[in-house]
Amino acid sequence: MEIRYWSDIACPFCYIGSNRMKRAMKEIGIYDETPLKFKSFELDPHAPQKTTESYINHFTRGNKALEPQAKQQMAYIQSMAKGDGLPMDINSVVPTNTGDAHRLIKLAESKGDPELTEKVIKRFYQVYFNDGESIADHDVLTNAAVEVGLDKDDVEKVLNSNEYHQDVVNDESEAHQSGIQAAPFFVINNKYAISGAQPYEVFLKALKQIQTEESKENA
Amino acid sequence: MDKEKINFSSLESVGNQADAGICGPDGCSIEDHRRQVAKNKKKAEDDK
Repeated sequence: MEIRYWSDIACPFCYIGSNRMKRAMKEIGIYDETPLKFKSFELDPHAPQKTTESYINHFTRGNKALEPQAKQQMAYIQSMAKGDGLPMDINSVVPTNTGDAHRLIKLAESKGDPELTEKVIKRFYQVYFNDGESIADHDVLTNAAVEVGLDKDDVEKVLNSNEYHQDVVNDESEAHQSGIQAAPFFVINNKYAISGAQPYEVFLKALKQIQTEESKENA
Repeated sequence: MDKEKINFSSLESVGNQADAGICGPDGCSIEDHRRQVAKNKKKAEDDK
């Protein structure tokens, strides 16, 4: 089986959905042997590098009338995350640009160690959704990336250049050309699609079904 | 780049997409939550 998913660090449902997918992969025993490839999908490539904007203002795009509904939705997202055991303090989110985080994920992938890549992705989600720090801040990114195993010199070299930018753009072009307009979006074996943070049971059922089909094909 | 591009139209959707939370350029959408709120509201009205 091969799984690719388009995702952004600033996307709460990507954080939740990818965790559910990994949990389902572990449940049926394919996590260690199945490539799970992260594909970049920046929700807002033009988001600022620095901001004083609150997450709720970002969520409502400044429309005060939407605040009660937004608060309810944010609380719901946080309860979903906590229900899945994911740390989230949604009111502390600093809504800045995720482009450099995506480039560092590409750096991690270049090391050929899927576990390292997963650690970097997970740490970046925590920075964005739980730590109350800016994911665009180079010091924050460097500390987070080095903490989980990336080499500091490698990280600084990427952050001080444009390296891996084209890889991020290529992922996003592929998504747009394919008609993918929202994240997370999972593609399994280039045949099946799962859109959004579906309930865990949906991921599990889908993987079991595909695994059964694969077994029949290989019999 | 991946060796195989997606043929989007040939992908088979799995799961009920309306139940999922998704984020796009226009923000995040929680269909399930909205439906649940509507359902609760209807139940509250029916209970009156």
